[in-house]
Amino acid sequence: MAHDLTFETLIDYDTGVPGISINVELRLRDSSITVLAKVDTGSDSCIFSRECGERLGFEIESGEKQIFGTASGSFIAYSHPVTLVTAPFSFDSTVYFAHDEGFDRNVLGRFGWLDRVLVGINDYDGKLYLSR
Amino acid sequence: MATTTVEEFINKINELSHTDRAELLRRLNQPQPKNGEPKKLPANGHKGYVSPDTIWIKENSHLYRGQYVAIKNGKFVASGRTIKEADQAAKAKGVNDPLLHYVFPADYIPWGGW
Repeated sequence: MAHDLTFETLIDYDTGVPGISINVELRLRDSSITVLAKVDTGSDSCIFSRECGERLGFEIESGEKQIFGTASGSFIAYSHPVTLVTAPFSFDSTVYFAHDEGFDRNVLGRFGWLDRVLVGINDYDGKLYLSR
Repeated sequence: MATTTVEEFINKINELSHTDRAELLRRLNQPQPKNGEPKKLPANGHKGYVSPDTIWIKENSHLYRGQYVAIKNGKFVASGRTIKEADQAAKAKGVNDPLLHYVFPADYIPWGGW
């Protein structure tokens, strides 16, 4: 049985580099930054570097503290609400900013992003289809 | 008085089950009451922005573990087991674009990916 899905937007990404990375804009009031973030269905949350949160103007440690597990250990991050913009879609969402300044990865995970978009991936051709 | 070294603590922690380890982490991260009074949220210190939604989450989200909560301007709107349930409950109350926030269960260490 076939299942058809229709998507509103197509994002091309580079299949020649590790990860499926797309541009994401984070907005807070009058501030905004745009960074490259990896789509990660295995990550429970959307997690960004501390620098991202500070550039937006957050007091990082005022957010709710959360410990995240990884294959090699754990790290601490703090939650803050932002407006997440990917392609033409924007919505308010809780993301986490890493406590450690050495944490330099940005991830679009399940709670906060995947749970509010419709995603299709053709990794052979480097195409990510997106809808709300 | 008997003393326990950090190394001995670490050895004991390593012997804990996953559930007990998660409980230990949860307790270590709880605000510590001072003189029997609930701990106040840390002052902003004028160093950066603190959202009203963040303040609500820090003070109340423990009541909604394992659920989504819908929050608007620092006020609770609705909750639900799924994002769809919370969103629809908020819409039924006339709030169309709340912050939909998932509260992790107390005994769960979320996965940070990679």
